[in-house]
Amino acid sequence: MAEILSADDFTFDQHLKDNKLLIVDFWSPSCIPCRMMDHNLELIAGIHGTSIKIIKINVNESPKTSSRYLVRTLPTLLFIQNQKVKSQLTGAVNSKQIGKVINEICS
Amino acid sequence: MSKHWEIIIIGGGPAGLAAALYCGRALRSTLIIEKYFFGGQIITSDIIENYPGYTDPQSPADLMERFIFQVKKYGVEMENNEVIKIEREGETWRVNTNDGFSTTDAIILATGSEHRFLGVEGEKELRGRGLSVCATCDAPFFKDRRIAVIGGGDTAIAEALHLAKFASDVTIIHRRDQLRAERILQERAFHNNKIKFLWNREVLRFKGFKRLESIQVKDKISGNIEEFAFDGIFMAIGTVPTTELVKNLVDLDAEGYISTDISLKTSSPGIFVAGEVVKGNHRQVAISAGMGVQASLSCEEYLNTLPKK
Repeated sequence: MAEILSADDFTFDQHLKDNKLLIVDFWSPSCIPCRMMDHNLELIAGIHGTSIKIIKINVNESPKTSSRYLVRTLPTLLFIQNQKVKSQLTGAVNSKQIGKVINEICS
Repeated sequence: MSKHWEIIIIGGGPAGLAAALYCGRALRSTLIIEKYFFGGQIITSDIIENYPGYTDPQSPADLMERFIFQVKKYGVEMENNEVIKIEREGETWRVNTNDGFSTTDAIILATGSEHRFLGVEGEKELRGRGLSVCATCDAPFFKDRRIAVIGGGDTAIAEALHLAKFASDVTIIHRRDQLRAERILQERAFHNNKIKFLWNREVLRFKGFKRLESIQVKDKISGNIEEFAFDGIFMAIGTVPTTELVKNLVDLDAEGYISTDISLKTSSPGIFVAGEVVKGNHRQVAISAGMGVQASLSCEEYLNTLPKK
């Protein structure tokens, strides 16, 4: 089971040093589709095990990280490996769509 | 492994869930498949005040949670998956998903609609870069910023009212000289001192590099081309029906809506429809729910005509 962790403007950079594929979930409490994504990310965490790490960022509390990656819509998922953004999904997506991107990056 | 169902409902918004409730209560083996999230697009709205029977404003997400709870209570199977093809297979329908298939005696199609876009320059590039379709999702990015909403219907005015809680000001840009929204919403917008109006404007292009910076419009009365700077623009100009899946199976009208009658059956025996895939729905939860009920009852009548297995 992959880790699902929360990060903010102060702690996010520590995660970037990780060799794993990071799936960064930008969300806010008022975004209902973001809430719906939680279940899909839990499924992904279960399927992909320790090869990935899921980082959740509340944009209300982490404006610098959101600006740095030009995130202006929610939900947004960034797929980051070796500090580089490999792919991005915006809007509500299901677990199969997330899994497809992971497989494309890891293949 | 594939499984046979008496009914498969495609789409998990108000129409699909209401249909599922009635199919479950008819003790039909029923699968409901939703591509994104159960509850449908309505859950991205701020509040719902006109669902009959609820006198206080409701959270659409909470209302749809109650729909889902009721559906589960009657044993309907719920699956989060994408249907990619429907085909006739002997006496049944085969419903193919991303990772398998199921067969069914009947289908209720409640796939809803998707946001309509203008197709003008800069729109595609700036989506998610200041151009948005979900006020409750993206409002936090625009605190004390200048925002515009394009449209004049219920969604546009409700979004403008929600955004006015965050933004420094909200400008509603509309192609006509009057709104189509519910009168009560119009009155709230007219009396909100943060909301302004640009009437009779046609959007020509969105401008910006990496993020939205301005919009270019044409004044339809004077013919003048104008440019206005905004930090965010929310699109609410209606929707297009999601009928791609069945375009070769049932009759569609010129705009892509499924042709049907009051019973909500289609030109293809065994396929029924409900919700925003049918023209004239007006995008109301109460209408979609009612159509879901009607489609399920028509579907039940159809199943009763089939030979017993």
